Amino acid sequence: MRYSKTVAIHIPLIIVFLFALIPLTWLVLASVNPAASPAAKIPSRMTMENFGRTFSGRPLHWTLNSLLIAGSTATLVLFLSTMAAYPFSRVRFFGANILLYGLVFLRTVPVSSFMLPIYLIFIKLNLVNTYLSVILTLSVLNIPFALLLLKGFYDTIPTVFEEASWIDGCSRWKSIFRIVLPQCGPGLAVAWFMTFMFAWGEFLIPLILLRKIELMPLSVGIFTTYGEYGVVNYGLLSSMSLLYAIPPILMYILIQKNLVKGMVGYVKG
Amino acid sequence: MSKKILVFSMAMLLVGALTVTGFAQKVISVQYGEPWKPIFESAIEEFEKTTGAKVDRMLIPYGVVFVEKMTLDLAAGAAGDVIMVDGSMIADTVEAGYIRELDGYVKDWADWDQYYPAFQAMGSYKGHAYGIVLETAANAILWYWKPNFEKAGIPMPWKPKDWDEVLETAERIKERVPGVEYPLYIPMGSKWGEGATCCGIYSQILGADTSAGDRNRLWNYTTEKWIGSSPAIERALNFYREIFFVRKLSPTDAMYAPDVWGEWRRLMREGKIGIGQGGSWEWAEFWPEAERPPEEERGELLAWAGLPGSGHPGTPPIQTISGGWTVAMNARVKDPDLAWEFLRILNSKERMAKWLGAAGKLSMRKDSAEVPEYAENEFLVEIGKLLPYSDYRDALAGYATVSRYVQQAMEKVAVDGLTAAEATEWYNNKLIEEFGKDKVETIK
Amino acid sequence: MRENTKLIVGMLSPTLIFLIFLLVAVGWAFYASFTDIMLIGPAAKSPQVIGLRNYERLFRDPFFYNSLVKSAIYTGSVVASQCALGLFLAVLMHHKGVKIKSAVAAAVTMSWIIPDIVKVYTWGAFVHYEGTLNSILRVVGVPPVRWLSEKPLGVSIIGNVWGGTAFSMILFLSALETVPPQFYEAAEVDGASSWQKFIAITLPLTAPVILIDLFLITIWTFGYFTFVYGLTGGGPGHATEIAPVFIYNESFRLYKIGYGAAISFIMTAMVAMACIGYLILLRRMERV
Repeated sequence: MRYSKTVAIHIPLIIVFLFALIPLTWLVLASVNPAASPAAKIPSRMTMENFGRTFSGRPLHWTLNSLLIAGSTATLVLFLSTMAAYPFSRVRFFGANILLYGLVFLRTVPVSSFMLPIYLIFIKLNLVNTYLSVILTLSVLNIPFALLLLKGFYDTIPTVFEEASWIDGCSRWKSIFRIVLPQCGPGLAVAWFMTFMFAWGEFLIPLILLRKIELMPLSVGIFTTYGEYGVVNYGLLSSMSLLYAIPPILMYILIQKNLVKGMVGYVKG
Repeated sequence: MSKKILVFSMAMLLVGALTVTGFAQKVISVQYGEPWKPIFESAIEEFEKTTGAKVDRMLIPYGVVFVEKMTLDLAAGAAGDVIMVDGSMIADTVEAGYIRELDGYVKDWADWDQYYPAFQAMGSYKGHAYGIVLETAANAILWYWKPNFEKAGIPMPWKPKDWDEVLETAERIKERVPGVEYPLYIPMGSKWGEGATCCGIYSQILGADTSAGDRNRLWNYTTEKWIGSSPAIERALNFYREIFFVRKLSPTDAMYAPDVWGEWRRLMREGKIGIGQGGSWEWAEFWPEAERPPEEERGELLAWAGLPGSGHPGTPPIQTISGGWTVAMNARVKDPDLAWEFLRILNSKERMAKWLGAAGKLSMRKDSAEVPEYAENEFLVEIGKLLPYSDYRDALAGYATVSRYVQQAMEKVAVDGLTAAEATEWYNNKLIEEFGKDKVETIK
Repeated sequence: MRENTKLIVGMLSPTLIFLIFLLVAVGWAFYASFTDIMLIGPAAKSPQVIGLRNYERLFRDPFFYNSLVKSAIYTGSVVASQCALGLFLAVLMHHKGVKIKSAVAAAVTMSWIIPDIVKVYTWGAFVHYEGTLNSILRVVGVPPVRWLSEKPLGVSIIGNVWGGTAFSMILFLSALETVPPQFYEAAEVDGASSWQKFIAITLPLTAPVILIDLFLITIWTFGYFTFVYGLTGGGPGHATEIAPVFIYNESFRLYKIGYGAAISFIMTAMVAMACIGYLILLRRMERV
């Protein structure tokens, strides 16, 4: 590559790199600063005290709750939409597109307008104050997007192998497990990851459906710390935010390779 | 031998059954916010010990918008047996059928007479008692940061006599002390919510005109109408316009920060505010517990002045307002007697006075003065002298809506720069749209 | 055919049972939009059916129009910027021999995958009067600006671009991987410049993906409540009161949930129309 072209490509990339990282740098600096404020400063003295408080007691407990909620939601959504996306991709049936996009549009109705009925439903089912209520709600909210992604991903997988297996006497269900799903790794990974991220970050739904502070996920916990004593404690908040950001980052590192491949589902959707 | 075993095991079963039924029947749920944890925890402990019943704690954590969570829980029918209702929302909550009347209980409760009539009224609606006031304060006093006053050469103790003097002092700070970002901070706008009304403009409206004929109120008690337009409302809005729009004495960003309370307290204790209007509870709460200086050191940095009236004829020298949280009983409560027992234990003389003294909050009971922990608190004695100048919100059904429109009218002048007359007209129209023409009046 | 029906029923029904739940909730809200139901006051105890009154009120409400305008500016700017920047980054990174590709991708993705509340908090500190942005500006000689009171909508938009562009970038990287490299090689033999290659090869081949990207991020951005609510609460005044914030304020701070529901459905209809537009375009493109 010519030198000038290399420069032309790298300069904008470096600018974007800095733009993306500078706000996050403050977060890291503030977490070890005993006198943290919104100002960007190199701390005059480093402290691990904020992390000490973060990795003890309530925050750690909240993290486990978040993992349980987000992990279960992602798994449940993946399980349901893996099945449901298949007919959308392989079978022509009446109203398929209307159903698929209808579901996506249903999700454009702002959640705050139907929060009360969701709450009422769970009271009727006697499930208020359980993880299950939060997991079910978050799952329902995420199925449409996962469905869209996986349907698109199935579309990219050639049908010839399946058809060949039917001739060999393989049942349709069996062919899905033996032939289709093994080729879907990246799509499944991305669908799981996107749902996990959404559920991990969700604040309003657990806040309303749960009432015990021990059951709350970290998103609510961080908010709690925000207003603790009515005073913003930037250092503690930053260290908690870092703790809160670690699991999605780890997940990202794990599926990094698959992310670009898996997005094909949307590309072909 | 086997007979003995039989009798023994029968007895054990019986005891077991008794304890099981005993526990299964006697449970009440108590829903409270984390700021009130100390007093609720101590009451729960005593309640469980004396009654043998169990309390299901429903704690609403810090940082969560308490009123919204509580209201949604009530609407869904999932709130606790004992709940907290802000004094300004008693009427709307009663009208919604959410809370239970307490007349039968307070009648036989000796302590009820210890509550000043104004505070009995705060928890009542149409002459019936619904909530017991838990705490009160002077919601609007003028805090000032002494080092900034020194730098600006303003003599202390500062005792402003009218609004103009407040504005002029703030301008002087703005000119002479460059480090001050907010020469005059007053809660404003919809993100502050009820805080902008009760710690903000309400005291200005009350102090803008004489109290004759309810000219300085939001509700006219004689005609039983909301006041959509009056000189008092217009003057108060104009005061906000002067601060935010004309003289630029306060940038608006802090009024919309992610946590407005936290930001306001941080700005104050870092000396970035000249004069700040807020509640008397801030004496302690400007600092997080771990950093809070002892009282003498605080006195070197921070002082307060009563908020003056507008200076128009017939207005008071000092004006403030008192609100407060109440504890109430859910209308769906299964065992009201047990819930009342909890309320009684919670609101006992000693517990109340000790907690109020420790938290720097004013008492609504006469007998608190008999408890040393309260009576010997110098700050509370001083603040208590403001109570004769204090007034109450017109918390009738619909108040929550009215208050919201007041906050939006503040934004009209402070952010959009409408004149006070235009904003008042806007407010008047909003009220008419909400309640109808025959429920809204204009005072000339 | 019978087997197909069985398959459809067997595989779809678990999901559909789940979605009944969503339908019931949204259906309840739809019914509520024709009543005067509130969270407090007499209308909480016995709500009345008031027909289309909420909808009539809506079209007379200046704050509704304000939220429409704010939402249009906000969603339009965010969607256009994320899509353009995402495509730009993907194209740059798609060049061979870009050494910092994974570092840039990781940095951009990092600001996307951190949870919403952390995003609000971090971005809020960045644009705070005492924050990093003003410190950087001071170095280059620009006096500090009160971003959150002077340019609230602008910093909300840029903040969302900062926190959301990664999705488009990854999507386009994914799309570019499906473009056969021979196309570019052939164009290079013909001596095409980068720009010509972009116009002649990349753009036509990625056009459907651009539409899908627009479709998805429009839906997500339009309904994205947490970021703006946390950053400005819709203020100062109503300067950043985008639709979801407006709906929240009306429903939970003014307690008018019936009215809030009516706004939701009008807003949803509008987004749906925009999105159907994308889908129709997409159809046409696929036919060509």
